[in-house]
Amino acid sequence: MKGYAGKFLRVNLSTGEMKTESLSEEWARKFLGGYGFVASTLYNEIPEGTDPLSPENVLCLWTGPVAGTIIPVSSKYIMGALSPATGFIGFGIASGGVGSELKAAGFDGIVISGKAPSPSYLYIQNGHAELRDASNLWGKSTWDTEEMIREELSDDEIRVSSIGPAGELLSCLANVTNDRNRQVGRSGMGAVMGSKNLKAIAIRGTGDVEVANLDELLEFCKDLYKRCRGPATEKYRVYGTPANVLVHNRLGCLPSYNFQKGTFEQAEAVSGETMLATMVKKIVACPACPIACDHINVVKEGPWTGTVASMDYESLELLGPNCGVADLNAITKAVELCDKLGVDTISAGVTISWAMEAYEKGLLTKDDCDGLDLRFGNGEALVEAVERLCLREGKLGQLIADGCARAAEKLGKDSYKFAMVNKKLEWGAYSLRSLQTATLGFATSVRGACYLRSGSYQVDVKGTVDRYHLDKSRGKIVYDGENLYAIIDSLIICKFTRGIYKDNDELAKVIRLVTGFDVSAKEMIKTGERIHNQAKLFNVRFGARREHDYPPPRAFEERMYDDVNDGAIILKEEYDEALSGYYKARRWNKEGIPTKALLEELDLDTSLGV
Amino acid sequence: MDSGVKSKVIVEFYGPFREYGKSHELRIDKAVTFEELIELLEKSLGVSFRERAMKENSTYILNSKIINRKKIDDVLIHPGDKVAFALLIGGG
Amino acid sequence: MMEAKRIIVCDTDKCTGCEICEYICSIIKDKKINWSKSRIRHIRIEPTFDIALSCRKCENPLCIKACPRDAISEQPDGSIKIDKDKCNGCGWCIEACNFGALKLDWDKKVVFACDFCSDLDQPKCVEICPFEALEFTTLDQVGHEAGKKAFKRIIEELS
Repeated sequence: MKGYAGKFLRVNLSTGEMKTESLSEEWARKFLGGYGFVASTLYNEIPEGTDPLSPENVLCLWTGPVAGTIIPVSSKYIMGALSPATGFIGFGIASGGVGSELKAAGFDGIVISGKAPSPSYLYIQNGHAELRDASNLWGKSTWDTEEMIREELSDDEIRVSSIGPAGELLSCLANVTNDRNRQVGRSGMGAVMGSKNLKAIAIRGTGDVEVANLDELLEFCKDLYKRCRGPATEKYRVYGTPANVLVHNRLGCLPSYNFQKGTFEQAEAVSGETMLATMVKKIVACPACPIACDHINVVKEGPWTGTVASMDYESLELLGPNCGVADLNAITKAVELCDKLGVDTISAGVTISWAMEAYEKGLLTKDDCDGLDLRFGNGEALVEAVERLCLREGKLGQLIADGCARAAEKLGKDSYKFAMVNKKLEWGAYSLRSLQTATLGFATSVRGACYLRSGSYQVDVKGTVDRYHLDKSRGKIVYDGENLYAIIDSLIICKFTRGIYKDNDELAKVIRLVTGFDVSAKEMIKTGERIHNQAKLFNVRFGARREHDYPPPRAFEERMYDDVNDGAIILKEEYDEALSGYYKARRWNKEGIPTKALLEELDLDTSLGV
Repeated sequence: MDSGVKSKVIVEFYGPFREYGKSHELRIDKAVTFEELIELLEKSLGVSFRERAMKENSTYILNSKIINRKKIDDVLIHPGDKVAFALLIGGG
Repeated sequence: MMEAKRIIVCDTDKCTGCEICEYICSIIKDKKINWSKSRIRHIRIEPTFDIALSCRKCENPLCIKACPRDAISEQPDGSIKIDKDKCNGCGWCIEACNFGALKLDWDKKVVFACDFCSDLDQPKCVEICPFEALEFTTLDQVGHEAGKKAFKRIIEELS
């Protein structure tokens, strides 16, 4: 079996026991890697009723077959567990060098259970693993943790995935950071690590990464690298993802003021164009990436001079326009705090925009906000609020540390109506009422409001469909997107490379050249469908039903007015019809539960099917 | 709207089109096709503008809608419209 | 007179730290993917500095002087050659090199260094670098190009 290391590490933190298990070829063919391995591991190992922050939760880290190879942007890994944020499947994919390093160290993945008696970190080096004391690292930022581990082990090339104080404090928004700027961002994987007293995973590998056909892979990759320097990726290379700001603003789908509007009057000030001209110090790449999208901002003046943060559209948008903030320096500082203290920028942005709206509506007083004037647009208050959120400090920090859904439960007063979440996870930076196919994709996503599961915003933005209305045909669009993205997330490759492959057969060729499995494009997509259903089955076990697949009330109850939109709203009956259309395309019943016939066809456990 | 606005088309530039400024005003007194618009812009901004605009990853927005390139010959730009030139966008 | 030495020069503004040079090196020299065996080494100083470094073809190379077993010899093109039978992996040459251009093979316990893909027109890493950050050139040419760039800037400012 090529591509894979053929082994994974099983760690019981309670007993300190560690053993190496072999990866079965049958399982690899069935679930491919990454997302597929996470879905299957969690389904097989986490029983109904498990508390996400208990030692019984299982945290796994997996790579896919392409990790460590020369396939463009293939160094990625995924972490998964039962999510403390959603109560359903939790996972996040990060770039940087951790995935490739783990493969070179001789493992495809790590499956972790139990809870360490005291703060610890896991160190893996070329087939060996040990648990080490992390008491001196507890309380440290992610950036310091990386450096301190490298110093302690006298090895600059060690890759580290670590949590910040937010993970230690069990925040539902806590993420996992590696290589300073890359994150397993969403659904609270940092809190799961914190609950296990696991501060970090440090990896060093110097082994070979074997592929089925190296000569042909090299030739293919030379071609792919050229394509990666072509028009399909110009946006990412030059402006980075913040290039979306002005385009989304013109289309009326740039969320502002906690999603109340779809345009922002100061969009120019926070655009990718302005950022490139004034803030970007360097553009860097992840290992094996011929694109380089990572725009490193450095603050040059004012109270936050010297602040450094990697800036992406989602972080910029949700901590910027969605909080009414047009000050790039303040936004950069807010992102840096999130990265160092270990919180997901998307969830932080949407949680603070919720608090700002509650403050402006008079539901939160200045005293509730520890004296902060938390109005929309106040950059200084944004920075202060982010720090309180990350450290669970003060009245405000206590209220918002676990995200806006939980904050709204505590505050009451109908504030849940403007908590922009699905499955309690905060919404990405795409306006709900002016991108309605996107909204269907977000709300049906297995991990909660998520733009990365199907890419369903693309048909809206490109005008392929009427983005101001829904109908039953949209379900098939989400279904197709999800099945393909399940493969991308299982291989795992970067979604920014999806435009460089001519068709699905070229993607299947990646699998063939790396693993030697003789897979057709059609079989590959079927595998994607299997993986997605496996993830869904996990959610069904934890009670996921139709009611969990809806956007927040604002989408149905308030019309959106701004420079572009004149009363945009989602009609409830249209959404219902589209949701039913999605279930029908998926061959799930009205409650969103897979049929036994489908599960049999996909060779999955049928016990939860209907 | 005053009559001045009615005879103008405002063209905005994003991404690589910023080399032609943030925006540009064109005076037209009747609807023009997309090709005629490009010709007018080429006259004021130079031949390089057409080359950049015709690249496969260029996107055109008419008012608040992305123009489908396959149907570009059917597009008419009226006085008072807003047009934007940008890079093809995807996720972020 | 001898031909001017050509080395691999890295433009640190263009280098993004993608490490594709390291992957490619191991494929060309060892027929497998193993970046730890690359003859070129990416270094990042956080947050914004990247460089890829390989043998600089120094005059009177310190690595040759440091070797107690006379295992390292200078080649006509200025590169160094390591006699695998003589080398016992003591690593003095690694300590002596100012650029970290030599490495120890963890398995074979012998030292290796860049040979500039002497059987090819140019080193493979230079050919494939997606960011065109690497150049196989002489120091004289590097100096000439720097001068040209500075002069152009002055001309532009004056005109």
